[in-house]
Amino acid sequence: MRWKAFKKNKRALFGLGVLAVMYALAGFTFINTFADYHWLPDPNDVHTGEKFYLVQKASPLSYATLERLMDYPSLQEAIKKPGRKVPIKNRGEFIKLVTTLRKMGYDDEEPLDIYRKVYYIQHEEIYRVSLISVENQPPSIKHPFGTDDFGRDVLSRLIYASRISLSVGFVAVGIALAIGIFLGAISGYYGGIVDQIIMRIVDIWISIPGLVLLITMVAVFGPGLFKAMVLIGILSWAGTARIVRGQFLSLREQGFVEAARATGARDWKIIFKHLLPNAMAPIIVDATLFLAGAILLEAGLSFLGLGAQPPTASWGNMLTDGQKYLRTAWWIAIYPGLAIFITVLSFNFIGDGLRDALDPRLRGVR
Amino acid sequence: MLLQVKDLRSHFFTEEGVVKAVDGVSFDLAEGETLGIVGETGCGKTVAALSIMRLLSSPGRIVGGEVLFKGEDLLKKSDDEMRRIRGGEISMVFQDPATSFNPVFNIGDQIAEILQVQMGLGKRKARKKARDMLELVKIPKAGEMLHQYPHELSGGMRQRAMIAMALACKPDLVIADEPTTALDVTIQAQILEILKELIRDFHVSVLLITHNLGVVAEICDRVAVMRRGKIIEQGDVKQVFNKPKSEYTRDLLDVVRALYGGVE
Repeated sequence: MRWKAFKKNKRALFGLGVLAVMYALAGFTFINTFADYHWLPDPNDVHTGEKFYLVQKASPLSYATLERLMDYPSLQEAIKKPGRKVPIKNRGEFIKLVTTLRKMGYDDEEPLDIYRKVYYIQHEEIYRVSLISVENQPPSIKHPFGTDDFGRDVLSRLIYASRISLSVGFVAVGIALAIGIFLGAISGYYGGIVDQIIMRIVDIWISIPGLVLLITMVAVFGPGLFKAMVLIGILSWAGTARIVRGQFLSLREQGFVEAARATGARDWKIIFKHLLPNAMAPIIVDATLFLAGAILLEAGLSFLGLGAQPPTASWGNMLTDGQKYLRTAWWIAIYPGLAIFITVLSFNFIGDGLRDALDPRLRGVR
Repeated sequence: MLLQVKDLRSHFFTEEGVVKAVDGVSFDLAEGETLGIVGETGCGKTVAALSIMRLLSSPGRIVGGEVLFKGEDLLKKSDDEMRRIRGGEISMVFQDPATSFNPVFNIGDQIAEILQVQMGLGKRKARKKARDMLELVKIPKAGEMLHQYPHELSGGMRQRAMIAMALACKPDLVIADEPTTALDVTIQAQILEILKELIRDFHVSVLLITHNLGVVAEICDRVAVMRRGKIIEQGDVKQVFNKPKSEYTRDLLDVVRALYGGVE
């Protein structure tokens, strides 16, 4: 009967649908990891683009060096315009350049890694020319959402990151609910001095700015995804405690509580067996809305480098990666941003839908 | 004597002062006997009932007296002993059947639970017993009712289920706190009829709290009239109703006669 009321809410259904797809995709990544069949590239694979670029990063080369590179107009151009990327026609020319530089005695100072083909050209002064072969590739058929600056597939990273964002909420909510329900129930059921003490703690807890405390705690305990989840949970129980307390305050006056007591039920049994199920509706709504908040908080922490640690992809640290290329490669930051937005919105829609469906006072209003 | 209440005093300690809700109440209840406690609203009859069960909550407190149940003082029992007595040996029927059931569990679960806790029955046995009890209170489709939730039932049906629940553990004493007040008149009559039969069949003692003299006349053996925390008159129903000693009882009866044309 409540499902019927929920079903009428189109936005809530939309949210449910979107999240179902997201969780399905996140679930399929496990097939990707453990089976031989790969439907998605690994999030940390580097995909070399078809275009190769030269970039002169430090001050210009000496005239002598320039003269020896006369045959390589692209290299010359790169050297003349420091900081600018000069495209090389193809992989063949790229390899030719590398060999020429090697012959000239310009050895790789750093190993020629596949992430960035960087050549250091040393003279009396230090000059540097980078040959870039991987970079932010715009969306294409091979990479529908493009690649980031390390040549990693954004779509793949996005889906792998969803595992973090979609699960972070549950750990955090689980912890927050456990603490919040326990303290709120005791507070509301017993009232009096117990209630006073617990509620003052709640007041103090709520008055502390969350993100600041979170950053401080991460600074103390060190960054890390699981720590972030637990900390978010520990930080957010106060709201739940208030809601549960309010419910219990009115519920404990109900006749069935006295009836339960008259049948010889213990306090803890009355609290958790008789009262808690009656208070479930607002708790579920609160938990759903809090799920969205927790995802947002985790994204914020990861954005600040305090949550999931690279190279593990999370929507927050993908945003960080993308922000420096916002002007030139919008796809790196836009997609994780959109993902966060849609997920949070969906959870909020579901939360609103649940509230309307579970709250008899609002039934039939819309 | 099954129950002997001696000089029971329960006071409420509020910020405005002490309210002596029950102030020296004494009465006896023999096995199989039905005692009615009548009185106007606020005279302390419900508080007296709750005091016997030791269910009085703050700011109310029992300040003196004895409640001897089977010769033992309930006021001196430990909380654990008291819990075993509640629901097991003494059970209660409340005024409003609409709020006395937990809305999120079905009737079967709620009756079966008491049987499981108090009598240590297994789940299936408890449910079967619950069904038997519902049949005893003349519920036509008892098996169906086990799966129904309180809000799906009418007031009369709920009160029957409540009575079934109160009698489920075969208690020695049932305290019925205004069991018919929340029901309309035709249903009241049915419920009283069922109560009467069960009292006879179960040979259970009943403490019936009500302000309805008609109900007392219908099913009680003896009656105690309460006013301002004290019992001002008690005795045989016929004797009290026919030859009331106190002015107050006479007034009460006159009101009823004026309204309904007499109490048989």
